[in-house]
Amino acid sequence: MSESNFTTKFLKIFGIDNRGHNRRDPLNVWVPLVSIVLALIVSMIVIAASGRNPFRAYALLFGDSGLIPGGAAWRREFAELLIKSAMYIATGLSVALAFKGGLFNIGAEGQFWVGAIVATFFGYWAPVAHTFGAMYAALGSFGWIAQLLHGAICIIMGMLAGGAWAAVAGFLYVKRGVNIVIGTIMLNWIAWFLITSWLVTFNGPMTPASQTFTFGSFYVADTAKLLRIMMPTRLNTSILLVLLAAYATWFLLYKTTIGYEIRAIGYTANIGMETPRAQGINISRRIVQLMTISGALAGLGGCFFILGMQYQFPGTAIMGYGWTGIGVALIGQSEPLGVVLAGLFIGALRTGATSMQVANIPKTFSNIIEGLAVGFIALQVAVRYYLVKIIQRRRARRAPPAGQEAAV
Amino acid sequence: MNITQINLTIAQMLDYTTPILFAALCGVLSESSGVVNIGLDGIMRFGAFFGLLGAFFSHSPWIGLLLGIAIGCLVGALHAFITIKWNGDQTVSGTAINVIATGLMTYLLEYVFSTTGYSPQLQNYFGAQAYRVHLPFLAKVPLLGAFSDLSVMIWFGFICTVLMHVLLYHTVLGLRIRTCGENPKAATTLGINVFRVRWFAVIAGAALAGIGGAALSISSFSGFSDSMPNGVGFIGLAAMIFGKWTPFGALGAALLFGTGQIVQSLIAVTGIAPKLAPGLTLILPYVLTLAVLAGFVSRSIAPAADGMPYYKEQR
Repeated sequence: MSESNFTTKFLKIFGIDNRGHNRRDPLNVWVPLVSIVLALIVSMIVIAASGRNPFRAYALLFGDSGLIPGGAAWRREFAELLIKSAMYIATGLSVALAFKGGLFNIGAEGQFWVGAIVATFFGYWAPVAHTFGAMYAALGSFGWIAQLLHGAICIIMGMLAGGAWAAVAGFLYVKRGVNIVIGTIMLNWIAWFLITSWLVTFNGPMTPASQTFTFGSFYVADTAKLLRIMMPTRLNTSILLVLLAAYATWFLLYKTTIGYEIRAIGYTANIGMETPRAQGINISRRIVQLMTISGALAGLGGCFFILGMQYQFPGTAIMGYGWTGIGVALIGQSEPLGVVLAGLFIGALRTGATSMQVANIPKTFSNIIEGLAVGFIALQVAVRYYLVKIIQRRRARRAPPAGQEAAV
Repeated sequence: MNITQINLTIAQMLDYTTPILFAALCGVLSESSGVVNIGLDGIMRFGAFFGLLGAFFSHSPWIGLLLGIAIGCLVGALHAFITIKWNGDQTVSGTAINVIATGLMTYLLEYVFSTTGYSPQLQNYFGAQAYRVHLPFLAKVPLLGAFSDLSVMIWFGFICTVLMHVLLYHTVLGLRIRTCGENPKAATTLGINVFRVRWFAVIAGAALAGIGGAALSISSFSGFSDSMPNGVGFIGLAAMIFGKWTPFGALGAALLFGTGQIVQSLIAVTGIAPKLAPGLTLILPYVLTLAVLAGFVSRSIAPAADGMPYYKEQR
């Protein structure tokens, strides 16, 4: 078997086209795994170069990440892992879905905040909060119904707001040709300053009136908080909701006409989208819809943040959930299942990172690992190239030389 | 409000403007050649920290500036390696740089200075009296009085704008850069090495972003804070678009956005509209940028091949 023959056969077996777009390509699984491993190795070198023990650091990181069962604090860590992951999976799904339609929704961050602030509002707003408070009291032992309803209203409103915020970018893109990356970045900052410098700032419209220098919004009513499902810990229903959202995303993408059309737009996004247009797909409408759903998913993450963790919109910076969502989507290769796994991985890193402070390593260290992983994903053409080369070499070594084969 | 106050306000506005200007110039150069550099916020963070590092240990801001340029070139080379050598997604690569910068600078801040949040303050920085450019003859002229006593970095920013304009519109290299951004295929048929031109533009641009970061930590402020650059890179990106991808346009936009940053203190000083929430003035640059992009104010169009990886053999 000659080298070039082998290459063609190999590429054929694994169905790799020259753009590397094949969904069934097993390298799609290997690229993120290799990227993560490379990122962990490079981060290890960073720790070692600064004169600290990388093995101790990683033992702390993964030991307290909630991934490994056992130990006194495991239940709490596991709960933290799932709570954090739920938010990363939500923003990750948001970015991944937009990727599938060929759009880079870098604005998941802003949509997350908008969803969060609106969920907060419906969580504490007197007419809503009083109604459900009264309902909770009246229902007695069936009070959880009031909790479910109030939570549902907050989440629906938060998702709608996040979706609307993203739809603005989608609308500007299809109607006025504003690049989606730039449009969503601008909307991020608009959301950020509107919220932190106006709504929840000192004596802002959503801040309790106070003589002291208070930041952060009102606290949401008890009925708005997400139900807890593993009692000693603060694990709540967010992880179940986000798994449902992941399934819905998968269903939307692969089992509905809209999903088919979104993917058709995404496949041809770089070459003018002529084919889907010729098929009669209303591209403008689909793109606005796609952005709306994408924004709603990011808004869902914001709802989890408020209703499951903070119970108010905090005055201090909470930046990063949307940005991390980009990493989650990229590591998950934009597939809903991949996003869930990547979200759990990032959630584990973030949970364990706090413990690394014992080894004098700041908890933002997990950002380095994530950033490097995303960097290697950006380098995926190179990663694929060397992976194929390694596999080829191993195959060639195993296969007997052509001459011997003939002799047998 | 007397003359001195006005002059101080203008000087403060220019202090805010300079980092934005350098970020915008980075964007102009890089995107003129067809490479989107969304990582310029992260590069500024690298530049800010390493600028401080150099200035702190050498007691000279000039060394800090050089270190800022060097680290900018290095990170720019990484971006170029990913996006030009391996045709990686430019926005993904930029995002990676931003995320790495967030984590790595916090790590280094803690490692080098054993502090969190803020680095030690510098005595010798470009904002200090000794490093200012004194032009006493301007002090008496109304409005220009603010320019009589400015940090050298501000003047450096103005000079870079002019140099960039000359480079892009009055040299062969500039024509080549713009050709690579508009139509790389045509550039290739003219015998231009698109890859080499893009490597140059990305690295030189990243060096400017590194200077912009250093301008934050060793000129506008006298130290590094963990929240730097606080989105200045993204404002720079907005300024680049607002200025229609031209150096002088970027300067104008940076001045406008710098003014946006001090509106808050202007309101405090003048007592106009005390009820206006600060958030409503801070969003102004971003709303304006969206309006310009959407063509509500005036149209701003990116280079045609901006953001497109270039495959030489592809039709």
